[in-house]
Amino acid sequence: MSRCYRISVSESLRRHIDVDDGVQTQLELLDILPPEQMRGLLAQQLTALGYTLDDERTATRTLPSGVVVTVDLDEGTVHIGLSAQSDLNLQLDRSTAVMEETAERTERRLREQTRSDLQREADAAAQSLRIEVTRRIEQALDEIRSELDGAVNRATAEALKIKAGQLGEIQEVSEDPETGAITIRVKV
Amino acid sequence: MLTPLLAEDHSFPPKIGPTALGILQSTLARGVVLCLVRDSGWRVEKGRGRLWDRHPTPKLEFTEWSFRLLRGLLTRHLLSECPPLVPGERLGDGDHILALRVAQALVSERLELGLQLVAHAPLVQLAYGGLIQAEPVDWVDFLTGRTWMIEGLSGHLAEGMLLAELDSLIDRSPQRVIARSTRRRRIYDGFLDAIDRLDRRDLVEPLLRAGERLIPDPAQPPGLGAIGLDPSTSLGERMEARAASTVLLDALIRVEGFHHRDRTVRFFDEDYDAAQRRLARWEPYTDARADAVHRARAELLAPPRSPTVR
Repeated sequence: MSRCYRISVSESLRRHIDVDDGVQTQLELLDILPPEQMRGLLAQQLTALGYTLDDERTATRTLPSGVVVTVDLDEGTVHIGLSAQSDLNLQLDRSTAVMEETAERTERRLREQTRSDLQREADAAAQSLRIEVTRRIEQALDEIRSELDGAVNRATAEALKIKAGQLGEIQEVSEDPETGAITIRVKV
Repeated sequence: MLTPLLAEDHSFPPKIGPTALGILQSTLARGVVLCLVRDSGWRVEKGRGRLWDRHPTPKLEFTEWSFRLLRGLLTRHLLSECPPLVPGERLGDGDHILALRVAQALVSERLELGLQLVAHAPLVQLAYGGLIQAEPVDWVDFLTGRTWMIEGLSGHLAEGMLLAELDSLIDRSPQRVIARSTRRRRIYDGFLDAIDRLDRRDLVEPLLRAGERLIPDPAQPPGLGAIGLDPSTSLGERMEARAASTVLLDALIRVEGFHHRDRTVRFFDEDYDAAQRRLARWEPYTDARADAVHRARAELLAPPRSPTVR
């Protein structure tokens, strides 16, 4: 006569998750002055916004959300990215009732099932971390866009003033803060 | 209407007699001529007449490939992916047009998996390139002596191009959009290179017609490109897909470049008459639509707006 058992299995999984996401876009800086001068003017505007000049060609700022904005001043490219890490330490216990003669096979199957469930749980955690990273970047995009547009516009305005000064004597400069339009009267 | 015929298996004799074959060839030939006339062949080009006035009568040859294609359509289950029907020899002109019409019927009956059957046909690739995987076409070789096909079938080709564009509009998978757009880009680039090299830039007609239907009102252009992507996928992947999906817009921008070249052709230049015809064709497309294409492309290449927080 076969006897009935209750078997329990316990499986654990440790995993380090590293996810990142990001987008790249291009700044449109007009060639009003030679490239190195335009680059300098943009660098000034970015520094005023809290960007750090890592070297002569890269300006970086980390937002409170952790999103990192990197501007390549030579190429005019902007990379907006975020990475996140997490250490998972998952454990899963499962038990089932088995007949004596099938105990070994059932335990093996239960263990495989538990491992596979753990794997699924880890994948879901990684996916959810990645979605959170993406969400944080997306929320920062509008702020970064308007911040960079403003910096480019101000750098362009400064470049125009310098160019106008090279053409003749600047008599009047008026700026409309609402539209961003700038009028420069020059006596040539 | 074609679904029951295309989606179900039918018995088909392995061989047919000469009388039946003659009837089949004659039916196909008449159908193909009708298709050319109804699509764009009827259009009168100022001073050059209709399609049949502008070109010598072509030989509408159907090879055994067409027979195998028709048999394949009736005997294969087209709801699952079909292997390509490899031609034993060069396709005849009739085969090419039949292949395009078959592709159109398959797509309209939502049997896209069957498209691989006709993947070898260049006209099918030009119209439905994103949906099939096939060897690259030597467009110069194909178009030499066959430019009348593009002229006569520009409506059908435009319809396929438009459908491929709308497909990327609703596709949720960035990976699929990238794969399909890359295939289309290779095809459009090859085609445009070839017509430029052959000095037949008027053959951009299908692209212009697709552009006109894509942006019916340039003052209020619709959202274009891959804008329906799954928001749970990574932003990097979505940006890559959006950039890849500018394929038709990029082709239209290249066509605009052809147009700017035509504007510089002078009265005493050899190409003046042809340039004037192309300029006249540009008029209904309009500069406003070209501007809308540039704006739509810039929008796709810029990072998407932040989602509204609710």
